[in-house]
Formats: sequence, C-alpha cells, structure tokens
Amino acid sequence: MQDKDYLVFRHIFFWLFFVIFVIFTPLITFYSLGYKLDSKTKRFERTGAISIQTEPRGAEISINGKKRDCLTPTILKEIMPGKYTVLLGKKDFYSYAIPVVVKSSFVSEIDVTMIPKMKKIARLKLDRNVYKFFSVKYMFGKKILAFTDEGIYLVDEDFTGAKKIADLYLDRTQINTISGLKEGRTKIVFWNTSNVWMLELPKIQDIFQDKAPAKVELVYTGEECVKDVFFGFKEKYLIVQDGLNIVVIDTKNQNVVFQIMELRSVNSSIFYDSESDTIYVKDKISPSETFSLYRVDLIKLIHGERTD
Amino acid sequence: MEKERIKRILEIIPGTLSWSIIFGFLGLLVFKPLVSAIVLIVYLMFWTCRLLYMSTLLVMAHHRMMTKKNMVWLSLCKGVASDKKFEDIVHVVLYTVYKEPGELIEESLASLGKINYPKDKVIVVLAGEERDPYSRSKLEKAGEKIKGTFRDVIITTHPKDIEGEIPCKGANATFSAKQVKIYLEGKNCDTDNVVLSCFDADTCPDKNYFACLTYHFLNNPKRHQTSFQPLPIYSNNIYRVPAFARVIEMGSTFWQLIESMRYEKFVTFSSHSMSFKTLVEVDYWPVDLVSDDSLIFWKCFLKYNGEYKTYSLEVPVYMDIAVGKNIFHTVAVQYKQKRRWAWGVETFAFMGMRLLGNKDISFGVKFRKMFQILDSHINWATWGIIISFITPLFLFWGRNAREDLLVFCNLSYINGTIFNSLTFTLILCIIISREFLPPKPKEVSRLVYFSIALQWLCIPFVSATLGSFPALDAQTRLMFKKKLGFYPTPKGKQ
Repeated sequence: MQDKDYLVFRHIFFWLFFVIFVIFTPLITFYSLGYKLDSKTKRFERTGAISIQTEPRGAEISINGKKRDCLTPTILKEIMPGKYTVLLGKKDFYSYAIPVVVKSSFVSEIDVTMIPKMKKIARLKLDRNVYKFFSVKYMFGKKILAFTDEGIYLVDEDFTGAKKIADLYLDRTQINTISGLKEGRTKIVFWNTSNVWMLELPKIQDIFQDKAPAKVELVYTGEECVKDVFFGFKEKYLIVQDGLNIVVIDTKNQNVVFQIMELRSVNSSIFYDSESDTIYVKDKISPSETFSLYRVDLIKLIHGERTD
Repeated sequence: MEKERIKRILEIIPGTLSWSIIFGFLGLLVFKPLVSAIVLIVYLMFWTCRLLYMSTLLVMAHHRMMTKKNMVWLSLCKGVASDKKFEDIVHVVLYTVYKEPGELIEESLASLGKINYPKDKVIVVLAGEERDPYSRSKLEKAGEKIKGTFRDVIITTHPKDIEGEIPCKGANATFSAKQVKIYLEGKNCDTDNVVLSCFDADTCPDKNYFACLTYHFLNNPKRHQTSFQPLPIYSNNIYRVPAFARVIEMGSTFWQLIESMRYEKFVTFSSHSMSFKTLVEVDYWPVDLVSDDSLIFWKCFLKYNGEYKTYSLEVPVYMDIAVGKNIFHTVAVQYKQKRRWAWGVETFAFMGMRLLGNKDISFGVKFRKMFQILDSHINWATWGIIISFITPLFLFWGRNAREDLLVFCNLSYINGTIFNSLTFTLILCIIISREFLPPKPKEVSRLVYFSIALQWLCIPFVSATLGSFPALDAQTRLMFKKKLGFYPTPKGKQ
C-alpha cells in the first residue's frame, strides 16, 4: 500500500466515526434523559424510571398487574409518567403493594422491607410464664428482662441463657399493669399508674456465681397517676411525673421526696435529659393558653443561675 | 511592551483553558447537574469515537511500518530516479550527550556501526557539554572505539554560560552543528547533499534507517522543505523497567504512530533527521527554549511560509525508557520527562508571536496550526484527569446525591458500555506492543511476559498521573512564568 492509500482509508474512517458521533451522541443523550418513542401517540415522550429495592432481595415485580421479568433490586426504565401500583412478591413473605408516581426524567424510589409470614417461622421458647418483658441494654449488649411467675429473669436475646436476678413479690395482676420501664447504668425502675419500683442490676460475676437474687423495692406510691419516670442526677434521684406533679425522689432514701413542679394540664408531659440534667416540659404556661414547650436546666438552678 | 503583553497572553491561554475545562466540569456538576451529565455524555462519546478512530490510525501505521521496515532500502535508494546521486549524499549523525554514562553512548555507537549503509558516508558527531566534567574523556573514549569505522568522528564541547542561551539540548546541538558546518566547508562538502540526524545519546537506529532516509531524501523533490521523523520505540531496556514505565513509553510510541498517519499535522519529535542546508538557513535549533525538537520544525515552517512538512519514515529508532534508581524515583523521572515534553506548549506563544505579523501565510493555515497546537496540549492536560477522576466523581456523586435524576442513573450504564467497547482498543494495544518487544535476555524470567500483558491495566492510573498531570503542571508553570529549564532524563540499563 502507498501512502495515498492510507490517506484514503484515513478519510473513510474519519468520516465514519464523525457520522457515528453525530448520529449516536444525540440519540444517547436523549435516551439518558429518558426520551422514548411512545407507540400509542407516535411521539417522543420523556419517560422516568422506578428504582426498586427490597430486603430481602429477589422479589418479583408487577406493575399495574403486569409482571416484569426482573427481580429486585432493579431499576425499571422507560416508564411513562403517571401513577402506578407496584406489587412486590416473594415466597414466604407478605406481598407488598405500593403506589408510585413516575415523573419525566426522574427516578422514583421504592425501598421496602418485606414482612415474613409467621406460620413457617421457627419459634424460640422460654420455659416460663412470662407476664411482661422488656428489652434492656446490659453489659454492652441487649438482654430481655422477663417478669415471670418465678421472679425477674435476665435472658439472652436468643433465649440461650436465662438467669434469675430478682424475686418479685408482685402478683400477676400487678405485673400486667406495669406500664413502663427505664434502665440506668446500675438500676432499673418500673412502674404502673400507682407505684414505682426499683431494682439494682446484678454485677455480671454475681450472675455467674449464682448469688442470691436481688429484691425489688417499692420506692414511690403515686398520689394521682404515675405517667413517666426518669433517672436523674446520675441515678441519685428519680424524677416522676405523678399526675400534675413532678416529684424528685432520692433513690437511696425514698422518704426524701420533693415536689418540684406543678403542671397545668393532665395532657402535659415531661422528658428528662439525663446527660444535661434538663427537664423538657410540654405544658400550658397559663390555663387559657395552648401548650408550649419549655425547659428547666436543673444544674444551673443547683449552681444558682435562676432563669425564672 | 505590546509584544511582551501579547506573548504573555499567549502563554496564559493554554493553561487557562485547561483549568477552565476541569473546573467547568466540577462547577457544572454542583450548580447544573443535568447540564453536566449531558456535557459528560457528549465528552465521553467524543473521546470514544476519537479513540476508535485513532485505533484505526494505529493499525494502519503499524501495518505501514511492519510491511516496509525490512524492505531492501539500500537497493531502492541506489536505484531511485533523482536529481541527486546516492554517492553524493553525506550523513551527519549528531549525538547530544550530557551526563549519560559512557557505556550507553558506546552501545548507541555500536548499534550505529551495524547499519546497512556505507559507513564512509557517515560522519559521527559527539556533542558534549562543558558543564559535565567527564564529557570530553568519555566521548573521546567512545570515539576511539569507532575510529576508522565511519568517515569521521567529531567531538565538540559546548561551553557553558553563553549569553542568551539556557542549558538545553538545543543549545548544545546548535553549537555542535555550527562546528560541523565549519568542518564541512573545510572539506568542500556541499551542504545541499548533507542530511543531519539529531539523536539522543541512547538512540539506536534501525539497520535500514539511513538507507530509508536517503531514499526519501533523494526521492522527495521538496527535500529541503521536509523533516524526516522515525518512529521512536522505547525498547532498549524494556525488560528491566517497572510496568507503568513501559506503558507510558509504549503509549508515546503509539502516539507517534498515530500522528504519523496525520501527515498534515505531523511535527518532529525527539530524534529526527533533516536537510543540513535547511538547518543552517533557519539558524539551527533554538538555544533559549526547551522544546528544540518540535520548535525546529516550526522554525522551518515559518521560514517556508507554511510549505514545510514532516515525513514519517518507515523504519524506527530504538531508545531507552527513562528509569530511576528505584520505583519511586522512576515515577519522578517519568513525571519530569513528560513535563518537559509537555513544555512544548511554549510553541503556542512562539508561533503566535511569529504568525501575527506574517503576511505570507494565509489566515486559514495560521488558524489551523494554532488550533492544532492548542488542541493537542489541552487534550493532553485534561482528558486523563476527566476520564480517571472526574467521570468516577460524577458517577459517585450522581449515585449518592442526585439519585433521583434519571440521567445520572443512565450515565453509569452508558459509561460502563463505553468502557467495555474500548476493550477492543486495549486488546489492540497488547497485540501491537508485542510486535515491538526485542528478544528477551536470558537472565530475565519468562514471567515478564505476564507483566507485559497485564501492564495495560494501569492505564487509568498512568494516563492521569503521568499523562495529564505533567502537562497541566507545565501549562500552569508557563501561565505563572515559572521557567522549567531542561531536565536531562536519566537513561541507562538498570
């Protein structure tokens, strides 16, 4: 081949790739923006997409009753704008129908966790009569605190170990009325509308050494209706919302009870931030007003900085 | 003052454009993500088509070289119909040397001694530098070994600190060429019949190089308006250098192959040959600029008002891959070498200043040449950074910050498809690079072939760090008037 032959080929290839660039670049650009030829209207419409993710993966997809060939996770493209119903189905899981709106050039997201059908779930069993149970953090892990007819048990999450940590002198009816439980670093407090009880959590070596279980102490008997209880001042006190009153109880000397605040409405509520020792109160400032939110910085009050 | 201002503007333009492109992409991504995605798609499509087109040029250039490299050039040039006689042609082979080890020069000269051409028609010039205290002694030792092999051996020593010069190869070569002119005049040698080949110290010409060169010199009626450029193949020490160094230098070879097919844009690079008469008429190489190899072409281009071309010879020269003492030093050496090559961007201001007042060259030619220089340097400085860093940033950002936009969702798919389609280009590079491998030395393990096949996987890293970053560095230095100076690339067998 001579140099002029190479020049001819060069020109051929140059124009070939130029034409490819000129033709395909707009096509690819329009495609990336979602443009598609609608077979019904014979016009280019800007489509959207639906991104579907499920936990677990592999769910079948139907859109407006039409099944799709793919499984989740997937992105369905070239969807005309509009409203659709996406049905997700997987064996041993409840089907999930979700409405979705598809917009031009946008990706609508569906991210669902599918619920397994309970019939075929292997059940773990704890051989106790359990009246109440709570999940608590214990020794950097999670445990189940189970109120049983034989006492209070600390159980591993998978029920592999159950240790009795306290005798419980409450009867079944009283146990069933327990409405809340809070855990501190070393103590647990639980209550019903009338009473507040406290339990010292055992040390881990005491559990392994099977030392005598601790006792549940009745620390407060409410005058109205105990709604909420918090640990405060590094677990030295309990802050109790008892009806319209907020009382503070010394955990070591339950006779020491202070009424620190009176609320204006039975629908008022409090939250105690133990890290900053601050009480957040939802209450009415005056009887005629609507509810407001305010805070009381107890530490500042203790150190003499009054804000009232 | 006005000229100085224009020159500064021309020096600032390439770097400004390169940085504007990079920051423009990033700015669009933040403020106009939809527009940025579209721009990126167009950019990717442009480079895909361009790379595929360049692949066809690579194949054609490779075919041209492989089919013609081993032709019987000596017979051809003896039988060529020309106004000149083969017997009258004299070759001056000028080696510029600065701190290269004596063994390297001796190997290059030994290679020169094996050429398939009458050696009594070859004058060897060894151009050393006074700045190198060992220059004279090692050149004399090297010259002694080839004494009697060629017509003559001339050793020159370029004095240091000449006013108006910078320490660079061009200054050394110019000084030496002037000595050669005196020599030729003393021997009553017509410079019209003299072809000068300016080689680096590590350049080993193919055995058919001078026969091929002579053929084209004789056959070309515009021989004095043509430079002759061989294909540089960096293979002398290819088995002893890190993989990334092989890739980058092989890439340089491929680039020269591709450029050789674009006849109208081809300029001289590194080792090249030209008419000695023309060299004298244009007052030799520039002595105060770094990029002597390309600037000599442009000087000739201006001299002949645009009627000057570079012809791609069908035979190569073999050179060393720049290598350091260890892998980290090699990265630094490669970076500095590429930055010196990229300093060719100074050509834009050089040509701009000279084309401005030139009334003999048409505006169309001026515009095309200026655009050619600017386009090549801006693409050099930006494409590796955009492909290796900005595109993945787009994809990552689009996936996490703007996952609601369909265009970013499709961009991942388009990018993946484009890169898969370019696998063909990668395979082509592997196949063609195999052709350039010299025989493996016995002491080198066969495992090196695996390394040579897998080395192309480091293209994404190499293209940006040792491709675009050095070019961007050079353009930025030029913008802020920080002179680069000449960096003598360490060469030699590891």
